[in-house]
Amino acid sequence: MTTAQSPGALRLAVASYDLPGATFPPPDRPLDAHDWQRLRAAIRQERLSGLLAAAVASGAWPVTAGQRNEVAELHRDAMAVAVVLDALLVQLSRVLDAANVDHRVLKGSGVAHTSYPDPAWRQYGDIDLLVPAVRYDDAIHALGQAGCQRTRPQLRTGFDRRYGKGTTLRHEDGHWVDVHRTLAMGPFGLAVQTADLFATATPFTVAGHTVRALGPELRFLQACYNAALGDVSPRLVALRDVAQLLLDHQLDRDRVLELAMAWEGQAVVARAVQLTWERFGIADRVPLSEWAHRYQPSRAEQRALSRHLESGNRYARKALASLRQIDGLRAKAGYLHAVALPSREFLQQRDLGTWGWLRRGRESLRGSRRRD
Amino acid sequence: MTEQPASTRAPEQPHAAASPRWARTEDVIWRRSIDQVVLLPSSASAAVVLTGAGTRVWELLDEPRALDTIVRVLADLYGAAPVEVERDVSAMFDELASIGVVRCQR
Repeated sequence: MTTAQSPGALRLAVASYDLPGATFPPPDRPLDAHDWQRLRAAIRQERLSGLLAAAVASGAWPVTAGQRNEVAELHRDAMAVAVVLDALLVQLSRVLDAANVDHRVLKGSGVAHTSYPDPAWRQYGDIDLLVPAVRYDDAIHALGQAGCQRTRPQLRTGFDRRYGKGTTLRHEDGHWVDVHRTLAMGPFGLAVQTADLFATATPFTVAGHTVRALGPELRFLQACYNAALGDVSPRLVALRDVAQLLLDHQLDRDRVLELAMAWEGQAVVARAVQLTWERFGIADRVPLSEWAHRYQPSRAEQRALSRHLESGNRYARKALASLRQIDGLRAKAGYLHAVALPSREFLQQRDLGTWGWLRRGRESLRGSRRRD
Repeated sequence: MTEQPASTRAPEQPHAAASPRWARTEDVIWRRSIDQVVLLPSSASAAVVLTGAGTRVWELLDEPRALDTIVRVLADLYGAAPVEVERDVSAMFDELASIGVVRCQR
């Protein structure tokens, strides 16, 4: 290299490969063995093998013969998983079609096939399906008959359908299937008008079967929710999805902002775009990135975002914050009842009694108040 | 989908139109990975990997093609005798057909 690049800069160079306006360049000569091994480990962990393989194949990323073989092996293993997951996706999509349950493919497969120049650029390790809230239980039942079982019971019967983000199923062959009702946990997810998510679709074909991803604007919003709310420190692949969708597609800016406003998610979108632009050092501006950089979240939005991010897995805190988004006293009461007094099956699975569950919730709330 | 390299593009010759053509089956799922192709036959639970000339052959099947067209391109590309190439490619097609990722359109 003419100038040494830090391990972080090299990771960012891979994650932002081929993005217009990104400012982390590939090295100008093959990395030495030490730097290469560090990068290789990071690529595996961050699921970026598709982007590195594309950069190597195009000649943009110089490698030794041995490094080329290692990338090929890494990517081949990732793609061997991707094709198996796509086959399972087709199988499950057919099951849902047969049960007349509308559905959309989210995240990995959904963006790989619709938003990247080649689906091989986007690695993924599970299947994410979105189903309408009103058909949620039917979907779980149909998928159960196709070999997908819940890994955890829901808090109470009907809780996931009414209030949850979704649930994780495990297929009998060991693969994970996330069945989503909305785009995020907690208040931001509850504010999403889930019927909007099915208003448009982008079809794509896998093994002769047509499946549907979200429409472009919804796909972008989903990527933003995933990047801004998924992890405190967002994964690079999540940020890449945001940039990929924003820079590669002609999004209807007004429609994006109209939906974000209706879902009370403008601060989420602004945060995702700001994080993406900062992390990748993207110089190019597009109308939505201009908007995101100008956006000033209100105090309430700032509080909601920081509560969401600070709460991590603290269920009690998220649960209380969610209450505001639930319409009607009866629904609020049902929600509180489920959160405070989960089913016996739910508690048994966690090796807890009702008292243990309540104490855990109280401790979680105390801990979070101390930080406020 | 991945664009095939210009060097392996093969315009069909008029005389090849009547010959049987080889095609990818509709239900095969695949990805291009640098110099390899990862394929999942519809009846399999694990992927199969094509390398070397196998990758080139798969790229040439971006549309149905006659065996002699494929043989001609590969013989030029690798500087090999067409007879030898035809023998190897025929054997490869038999193997790929047996796992259901290609089929012969007569």
